Amino acid sequence: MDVQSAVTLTGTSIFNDNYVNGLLISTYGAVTLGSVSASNNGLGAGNGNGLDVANAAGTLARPVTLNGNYFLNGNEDQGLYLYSKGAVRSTT
Amino acid sequence: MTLSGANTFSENAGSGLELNSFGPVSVSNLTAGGNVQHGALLRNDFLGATSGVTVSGMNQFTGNGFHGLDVISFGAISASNVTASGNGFSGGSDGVRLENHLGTGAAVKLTGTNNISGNASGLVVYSVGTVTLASITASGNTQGSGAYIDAPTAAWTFNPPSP
Repeated sequence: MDVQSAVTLTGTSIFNDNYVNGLLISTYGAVTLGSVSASNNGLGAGNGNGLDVANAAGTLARPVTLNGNYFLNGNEDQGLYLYSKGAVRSTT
Repeated sequence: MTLSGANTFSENAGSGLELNSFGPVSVSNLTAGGNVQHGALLRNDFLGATSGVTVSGMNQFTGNGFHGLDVISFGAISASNVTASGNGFSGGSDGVRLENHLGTGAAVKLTGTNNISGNASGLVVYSVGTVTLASITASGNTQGSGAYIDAPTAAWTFNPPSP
């Protein structure tokens, strides 16, 4: 049986100018995020996303909820990369 | 094992603080800088242990060769108000590393205001419990990601280290 670990990030968070990804979350559970800025990541490594969330590998579909505001600019690969079998909701 | 008050561990040839316990670990207001190895290494991931680790107050880890703060537990992990910068350049390590993925499925919480910037790698969490993080700044980490949260699977192997 899969472990369904939820990941929650509250408040305003900043992930800029990192060598690879800004913020990478890999889980089988639900993901809920507050406001995130993640820009100019992956430029050193030549690969990297600003915000990378994957929760599709588990048995059950779990949601990804994006609350707040997102500034995901100038990253080497995707600004936002989502891989989920569940509902994706954006509430601003 | 409880360490209360304000605590400073700096410029040591090993780690600033290394605690190994079979029971609960509670520490507060840690300052660890310029240590050759870890700033603070807190472990209670030994066979039969189920207790957690709490790092409370204001905590600062600067310029340590390995991880700034490294917590390895079979129980819950809670930390607050962590600043970590300039850590990990001796071995591609992390500003803050929180691991309880081989334990009981307990939670990981990082509360308050947290700045984990300018390290080799920023924040790393390995857990099979609920992960709750608040107000993270993780920028300018020059060899890895800003934050890597890995909480996916029951496929972790059980391989407890010796104390």
